[in-house]
Amino acid sequence: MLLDDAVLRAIMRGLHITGSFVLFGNCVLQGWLLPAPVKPWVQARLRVISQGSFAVLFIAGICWFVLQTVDMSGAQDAGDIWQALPVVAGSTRFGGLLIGRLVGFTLAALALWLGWRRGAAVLAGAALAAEGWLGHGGAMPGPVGTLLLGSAVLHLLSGGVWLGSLPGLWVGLRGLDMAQAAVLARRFSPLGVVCVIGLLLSASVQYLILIGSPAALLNSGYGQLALLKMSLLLGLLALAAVNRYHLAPRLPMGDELARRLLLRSVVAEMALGLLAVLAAGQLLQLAPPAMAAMLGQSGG
Amino acid sequence: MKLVNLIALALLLGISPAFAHAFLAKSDPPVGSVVHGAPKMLVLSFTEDLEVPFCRVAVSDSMGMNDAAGKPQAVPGHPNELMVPLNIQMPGKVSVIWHALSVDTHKTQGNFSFTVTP
Repeated sequence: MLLDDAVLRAIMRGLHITGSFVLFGNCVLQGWLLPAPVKPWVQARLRVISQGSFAVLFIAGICWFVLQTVDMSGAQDAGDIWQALPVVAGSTRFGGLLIGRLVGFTLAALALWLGWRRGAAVLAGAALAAEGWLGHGGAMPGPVGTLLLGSAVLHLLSGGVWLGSLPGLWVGLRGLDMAQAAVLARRFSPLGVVCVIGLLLSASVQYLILIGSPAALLNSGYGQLALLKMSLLLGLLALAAVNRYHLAPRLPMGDELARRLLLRSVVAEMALGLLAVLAAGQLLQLAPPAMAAMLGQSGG
Repeated sequence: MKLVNLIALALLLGISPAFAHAFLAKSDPPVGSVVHGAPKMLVLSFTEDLEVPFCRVAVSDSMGMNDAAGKPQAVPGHPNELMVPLNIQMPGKVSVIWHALSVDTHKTQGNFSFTVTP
């Protein structure tokens, strides 16, 4: 096989989360941030973003479901997989939650199509947050598990609002009148700050619980990948700071150069964000350093 | 800033890095124990909640004979536990090999033994 099964699962999970982020972020952008009236050019492209992100999250979600079924059941051929699919769908938290979330995203896409933008954002946000129960925090009992689960939900929603709304933000900044683009940038700015705080707080909790020490950050595959993700986040923060303090304030003065630079910066943010989410998909498949040494242990 | 308080609380309580995979926390009969009389049930408790349909437990005596009388079953109200009905025919060392799948889809495995005396 060209790609290892675990890597393929991680890619599908990462793509599923990426699509979920963009659908949710696009709903938030249209529900709260976009100044009316919206030009048909902008509206048409936002619709393409919604449809495209829904297609990505749905197809990648189905692929993740099948690949995870193969891994869980140890299925060897198509017959085995066919038999295992209903068991995973009906008798596991993974199957039930993933199918429930796909239904939630479908309803969100439908609500957006009907013009219920804020309702769509709530539905998509709930479906996105439920991803947290498929991670480490969702499986761990007790207060530590609850803390980790809370941090995962905060991480998902913060990332979804910030990174997920970037494609729609780009379309708005590109297609709206300068005055409207300035309003959009001004409304996005405080929300971005809240998301950054949410991401930093949740990442700190995850570092504390799952990694635990600077040495583990450097000496384990999980830690190195987490370090890469943190570096990408720092890059995103630097770009966001330039946008907020240097470029966005120049839009109300009709500065076309600032708009062009802002568009490029948003594209760079999207690229870094996609890498960070794909890294997260891989990270979720690995054993955190705290217990990696215990794999294959001889009992308890 | 409740989360900040929670983090501070976690630090104060000395929360150590956690077990984000299902590892064996305890067993009944206990790991390495000597029990008088053949137990009818083996109960395994893990550090995480389990996907029971995809967990496997093999139990065998010193001759390699199967001592499990059925598949692992869920323990009602305890999503992190498995129970395995036993049918131990003779005293001696009983080996247990477990494969667990936690609800976050991670797999773990391990083995241990206990001894049955008449």
